[in-house]
Amino acid sequence: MEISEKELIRLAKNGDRGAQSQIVKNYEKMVYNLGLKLLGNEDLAESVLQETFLKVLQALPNFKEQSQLSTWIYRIATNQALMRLRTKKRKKKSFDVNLEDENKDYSGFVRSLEKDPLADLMNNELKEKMNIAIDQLPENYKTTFVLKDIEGLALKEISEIMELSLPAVKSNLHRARVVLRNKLSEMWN
Amino acid sequence: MNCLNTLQQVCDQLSEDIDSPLCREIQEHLENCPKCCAHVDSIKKVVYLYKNTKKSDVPHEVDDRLWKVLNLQKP
Repeated sequence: MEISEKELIRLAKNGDRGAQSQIVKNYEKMVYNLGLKLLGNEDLAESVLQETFLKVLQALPNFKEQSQLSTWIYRIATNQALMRLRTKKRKKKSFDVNLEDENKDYSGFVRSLEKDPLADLMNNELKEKMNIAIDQLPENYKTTFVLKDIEGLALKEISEIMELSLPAVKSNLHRARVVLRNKLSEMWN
Repeated sequence: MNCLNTLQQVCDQLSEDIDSPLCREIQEHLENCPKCCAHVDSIKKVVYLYKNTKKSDVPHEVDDRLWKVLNLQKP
């Protein structure tokens, strides 16, 4: 019989190793994919996966249950990934986000997506381009975009995880989407 | 493009009710501005592309190492 998440948390907090294992199993794919998207590297995603669950198991007795377990784990995983991202010490390029590119025409790009975007998704080259475009986003834009548009979290949850105001999250999200649209459009043409 | 859905999404981002004065104003503008419609549409399609990328499974060897590091048994 499947037990509720609340009961699973209670058991895990009390040191039940079966319940702890179940929590890891329930969320490992989520954490691994978050690491992959934020860091763009399988080895670093694995490190984030291990560090996140070591931290989750260690901090579980102090989990206040004021947020959902998934949000709490996302918060830990995001922090771990951001710490890794900062140590990547990539050369920062100046980043001008032109949100109002008056002269640019995106109609060709939109038409190409309309042909069959799902068939295109099977194309590894396109996936690679999408990953490159995400990887080039500034940290805050990338994190907001991945959490909202890929992971599907609510804006309020993202605001809690990133400790940013709701307007700041919305602004990051819009800018991230515009930058990605511009980058993919460039790659298409 | 479905304008009502788009407007709903734009308003969701703004945390506005779809009948609010701001959303009504946006709707009026979108109806009369092909450029803004195209902008919203292109952004929407990019989000759709990313949203539909398949999530990767955790590779077996990565999974095995995780359980070892955590000193737990895989259920």
